[in-house]
Amino acid sequence: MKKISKYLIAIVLVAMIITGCAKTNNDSNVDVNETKNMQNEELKNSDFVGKKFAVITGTMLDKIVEDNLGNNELMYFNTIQDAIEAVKNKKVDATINDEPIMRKFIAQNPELSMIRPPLTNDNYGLVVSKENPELTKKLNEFYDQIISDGTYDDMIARWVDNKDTPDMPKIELNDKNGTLKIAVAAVTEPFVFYSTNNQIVGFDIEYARRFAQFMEMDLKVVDMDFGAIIPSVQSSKTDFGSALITITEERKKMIDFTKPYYIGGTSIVFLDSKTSAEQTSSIGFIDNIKKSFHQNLIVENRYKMVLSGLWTTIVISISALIIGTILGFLICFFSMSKYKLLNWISKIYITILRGTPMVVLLMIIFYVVFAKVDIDPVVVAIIAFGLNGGAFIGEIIRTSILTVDKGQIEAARSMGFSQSGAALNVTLPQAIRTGLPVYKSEFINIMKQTAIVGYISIVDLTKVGDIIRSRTYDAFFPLIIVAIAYLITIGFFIKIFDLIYKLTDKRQRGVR
Amino acid sequence: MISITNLIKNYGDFKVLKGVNAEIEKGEIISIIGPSGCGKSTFLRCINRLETPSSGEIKFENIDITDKKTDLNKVRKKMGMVFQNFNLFDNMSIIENIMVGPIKLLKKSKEEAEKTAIELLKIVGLSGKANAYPDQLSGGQKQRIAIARCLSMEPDILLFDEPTSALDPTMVGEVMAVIRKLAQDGMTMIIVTHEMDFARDISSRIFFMNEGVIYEEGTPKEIFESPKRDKTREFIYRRKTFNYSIKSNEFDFIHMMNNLNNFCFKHGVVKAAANKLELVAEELIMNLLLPLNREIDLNISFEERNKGYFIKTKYTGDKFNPFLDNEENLSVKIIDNIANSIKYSFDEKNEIIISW
Repeated sequence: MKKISKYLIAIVLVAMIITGCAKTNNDSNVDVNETKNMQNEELKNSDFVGKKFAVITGTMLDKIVEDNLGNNELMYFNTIQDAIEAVKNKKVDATINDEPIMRKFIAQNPELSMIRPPLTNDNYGLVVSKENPELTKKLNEFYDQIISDGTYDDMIARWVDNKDTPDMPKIELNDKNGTLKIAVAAVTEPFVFYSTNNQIVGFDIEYARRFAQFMEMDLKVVDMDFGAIIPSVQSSKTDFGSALITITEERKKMIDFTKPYYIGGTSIVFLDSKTSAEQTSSIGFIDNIKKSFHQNLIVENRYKMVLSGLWTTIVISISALIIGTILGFLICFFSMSKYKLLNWISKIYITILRGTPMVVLLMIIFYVVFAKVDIDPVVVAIIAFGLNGGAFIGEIIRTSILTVDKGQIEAARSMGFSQSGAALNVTLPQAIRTGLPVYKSEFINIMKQTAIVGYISIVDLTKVGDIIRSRTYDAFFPLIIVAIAYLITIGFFIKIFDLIYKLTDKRQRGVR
Repeated sequence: MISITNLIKNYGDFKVLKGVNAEIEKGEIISIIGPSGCGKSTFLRCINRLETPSSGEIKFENIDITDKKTDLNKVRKKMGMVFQNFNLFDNMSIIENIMVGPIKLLKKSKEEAEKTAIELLKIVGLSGKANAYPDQLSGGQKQRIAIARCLSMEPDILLFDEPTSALDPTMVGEVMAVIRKLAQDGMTMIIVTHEMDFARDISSRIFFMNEGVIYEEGTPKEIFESPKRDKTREFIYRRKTFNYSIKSNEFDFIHMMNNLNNFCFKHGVVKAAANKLELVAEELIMNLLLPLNREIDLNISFEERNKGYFIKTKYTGDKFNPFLDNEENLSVKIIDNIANSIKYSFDEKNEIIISW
């Protein structure tokens, strides 16, 4: 244990140095002259022709950049935070995104500037499945109603034209007509984002709640990656989606849009050398770490989020291991059976499961297999990882059994042990000894691979890191925290497996 | 106790056992000997059905064990088997190896099984190793434990599959001593072995297997001292044979003598004996047979075990014995001097067998 703690200290130190050095100044309390930053007079949109852009996967941004500027090199990111971080680290020259969102980012990152006027003007709509025209109609009716009674203007004033983050108004809901499910990507302040008490809030959420009230239905908010929203609505996992989705002809082929509920545009954001030069580190190294620590873990009790994400990761990993082990025994039994048909089934199963990337498998199971089924994504993840684990664990069990000396099995059989008796008394105890170390690494593998479950809107440890980043605009500290959390957890489970391994060796138990 | 009728075992097209018949009585000790690949081990493994016979019948204590309905596990409890590679259970200590059968299969209490195990360890002389593990023992010790493990099941018969073949020569003795002790106590045993002296010493009957059948069987005395059939004799006396065919007078004599010389060297025939063989062969071929101008088949063999030497020739043409009324011939004199017996016969071909 002493050794482990030494390693941990070393890791934490390295992490701190990295975080400290990669100085990210993101104190939202710094007073910034907004107008100065937002109205950069020296640069125009046309100055960004041929520059390197950060764009978000699954959006129209790449097309917008190409159509309006041309000759640009593009880098794809999953969240706006990542794109902003890339700009700040000079990995790209600029990023582009919806103007109201960018406005908030610039308020919190004074070294960034935005080009005026926006590059394009856009209409944003809510997405509804083509199979549900009734809902589209209702949403449009609702829109007309709040425009006419002034609620809409009031909402815009509170959420968008407001420097501070407002509180969500209380909107009472009942489930008289069932529950509506809305798909969002909660990383787009002020439209949809995680509030200080880790609730998903924003203009869109208020909009959706008011609509639910209008429909006399309850509302369930499902957070996912932006790119997953349209597939989710298409496959009826959710009823409608919103996250400033630009209305385009291409998208209209796949999904229905409501009337535009917000008219905005896309603006270019870049690292302004002048403003950033003024912001160079005036705070001490240690203070920096302290502040990062405070902001990423203590504020809004974010450590609780980390712990709950970790718990989700552990639950998925262990459940998947159990399912994988049961399946593994079955697969092993099939592949060692004397019946050709069973051999073939196991062979096909192993080939397919081992040859498919985990992310793809996970999404297929979520969006295709369980498309029309209302199922907890965590269960889907457990099934997906269990299925995948089954293929690998099956092979582990098979090879472990094959390493046991056939002669010993013959000896047991010649004494009068039945086939299962020989397996139980002779084969298994020895196969466990050979198989356990490989089994352990398979479990570690599963646990690390679960980092992708964010794809199907599960808030696991990795996703928590993303959420914290989306709130604090600090890329490094949350990632390091997440990495350390994985490391400690995996180290803990390695210890447990090693303990089990020791227990299987009777000699070390001191029976002699 | 065991009655085997027309036992046949094929691996695909390869016929290993071609119809084995045997009767084994209680208290008998049978040794099965024979050249490698003759089916000894397969035969033994068919008896406890580790191999499934292709056809034939095996009855053990009047139970037909080739019958699919027979509870094999029940039958096997009565038949212990000792393997060439010991096959101790690596995951168990020595005493656990001996206790596992009685506890799990005979449903004995742990205390009772332990008591028996300690006694058995005493019998095989390894009391001190009770809590050791198989990988801490020598080959000989492992095999003794394997025997103790079989005995723990209180079997009616023990099958030994080459119990000493995987052992260092220095350890063969200790295992054989344990088997001898069992023999004295009247245990019924079938032993597949290559240890001829041991087989001769311990057995009540010997099965000589060859080409998938029991080729000859008898008491050790019959098999080892006066084997009736040629293949038995060849095996028992470890006969080595050299063949050469002479088609005409102009054959390559030097080549033949060189091959014969190599043959003698390869099989470790001592120099003096080799010289005699070469001398007789030369006199017989060059001086007595070649002048007749006939096709000659030469077959020279020696028996390693009893130092017997044989020169057999067959030649074509009219009946003619070069030794008849030819005592004055120098070659005849030389051969007469060396050989113990010279036999002439005629059956389509002339045949001379010279031996000493």
